[in-house]
Amino acid sequence: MKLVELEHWLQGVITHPEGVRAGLASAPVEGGGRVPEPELERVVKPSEQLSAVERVELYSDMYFVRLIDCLREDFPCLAWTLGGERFEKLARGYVTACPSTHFSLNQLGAKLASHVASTNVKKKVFYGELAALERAVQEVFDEHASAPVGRVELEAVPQGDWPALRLVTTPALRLFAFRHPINRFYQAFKDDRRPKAPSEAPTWCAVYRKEYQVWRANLSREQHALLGQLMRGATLERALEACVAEPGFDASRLTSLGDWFREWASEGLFVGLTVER
Amino acid sequence: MTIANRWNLPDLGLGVGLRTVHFAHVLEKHPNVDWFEIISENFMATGGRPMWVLDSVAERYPIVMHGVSMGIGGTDPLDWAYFRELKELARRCKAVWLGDHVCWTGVAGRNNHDLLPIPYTEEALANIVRRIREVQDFLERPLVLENPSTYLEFASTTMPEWEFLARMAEESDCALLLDVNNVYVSSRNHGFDPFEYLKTIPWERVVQIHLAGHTDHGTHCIDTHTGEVVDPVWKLYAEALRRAGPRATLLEWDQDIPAFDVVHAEVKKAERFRRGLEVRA
Repeated sequence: MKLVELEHWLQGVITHPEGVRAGLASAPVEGGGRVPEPELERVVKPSEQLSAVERVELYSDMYFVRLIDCLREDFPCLAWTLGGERFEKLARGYVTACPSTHFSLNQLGAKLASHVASTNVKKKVFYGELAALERAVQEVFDEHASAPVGRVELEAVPQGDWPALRLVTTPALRLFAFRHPINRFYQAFKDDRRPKAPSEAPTWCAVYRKEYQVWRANLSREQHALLGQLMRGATLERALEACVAEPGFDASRLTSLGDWFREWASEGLFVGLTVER
Repeated sequence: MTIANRWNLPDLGLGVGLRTVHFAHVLEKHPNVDWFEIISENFMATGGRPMWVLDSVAERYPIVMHGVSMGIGGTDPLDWAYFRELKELARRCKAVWLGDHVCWTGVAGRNNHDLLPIPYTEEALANIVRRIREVQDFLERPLVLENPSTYLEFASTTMPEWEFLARMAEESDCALLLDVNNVYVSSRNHGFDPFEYLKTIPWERVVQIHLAGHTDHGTHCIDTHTGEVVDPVWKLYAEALRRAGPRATLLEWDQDIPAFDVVHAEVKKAERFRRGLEVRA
């Protein structure tokens, strides 16, 4: 086997979700052939202690253990909620369906939330939302972010300029509209209160980083809508117009607009501002 | 005997791998460690606290970058976006040198996040030499490549690992990181004499030595980077120093990581071997 064929073959064998023997039966070599188990020694030498299959199995076992452990570390609440066996099955299916293509293991779980949605797991909407929140915590932790626009700087914007104000939100911000009280559930898990899976109830939240720490904040539907518009680059006037047009948006909440902006600026959610002329 | 390395890269003394669990200790206590080694990829995909920690540590200590995803022995096209990030990180933390492993990590765009073995053949040698040269040209510095622990051997292999390493280093003009624990682990797994391995190493190309613990399963050993360095590995370390003279030495501890002082104390055991050299000199 040429080097490139050998690497394709070995990768196919050690990453087969049903193990090395199944991998040997399916991983192709040049011309579409296989290396059947009895002939494996043509490719891999046995040692004095281990057969060729056992030696390949060391790599296969370590592949799944390493990646599943990594996912368990990145999604501790999802892992606890699903339980060991169910999480392992989900994780094994995930790394098979969405193998890593990035140099960093930090990116391994990037598609786990959408993968959950594609499975037949019961309560998959809840689990998918939980995975999305935990993924956001990691993304925000690692995000490159600039210095925030402070509250004083924001308050210095002349009142007449506010409608044309365009605020740049920090890249270390994620917004969520969930069908379950995910943030409350996650906090209860963090507090070791062993929460039960909640019933459906719409909630909104932000995950963001302030001074290298990740924070989660519950939002109202209106705050979520407005921050979402600002994230998409709308000026304040256009953002408010779009929000008011949204079904379910309670415009009376806008009386607190000043407080919202003071709080968001204090939390470092904005990293730039311009006034559209 | 002391053999200067070909690039006159410094003997940094005794270092420790910088790990997340020790960040707070290192920042607060400024331990008396000579230098730190980082896993390159842990700082390449982040702009958050890890990067801030690295900036702070790099102000006080020499930093060496040691990667796990370069896949220099692979057959996929080299990932230049990866190398651009690697080069930028090296600039930012003023890395004294940087390197990775003699292995491949994936093919067809995948990364298995493992140090996979390559067959020691003329074809694999030509492939890795060509890739090392390209990467060195881009990085404008020598790569420092480590011998991996391996758990299988390919039937197609035509030369021992030590010969492959020596030829790879000479033909590509790269530097070597000799992991004496990996030499021991592979010797147990493949049944060769680890001292024979050390005889063929081109010592003028070795700029760093790794120490680590491993897990002995009886039928095979796995390079788990856990626990203390065992006596047979210390013997290999002593032999390496006898042949090369003092070299920057680093302890890796990545599973069940104890308090920083425990890790630091373990690498400081290497002092007695280094002192022995000074006495003889």
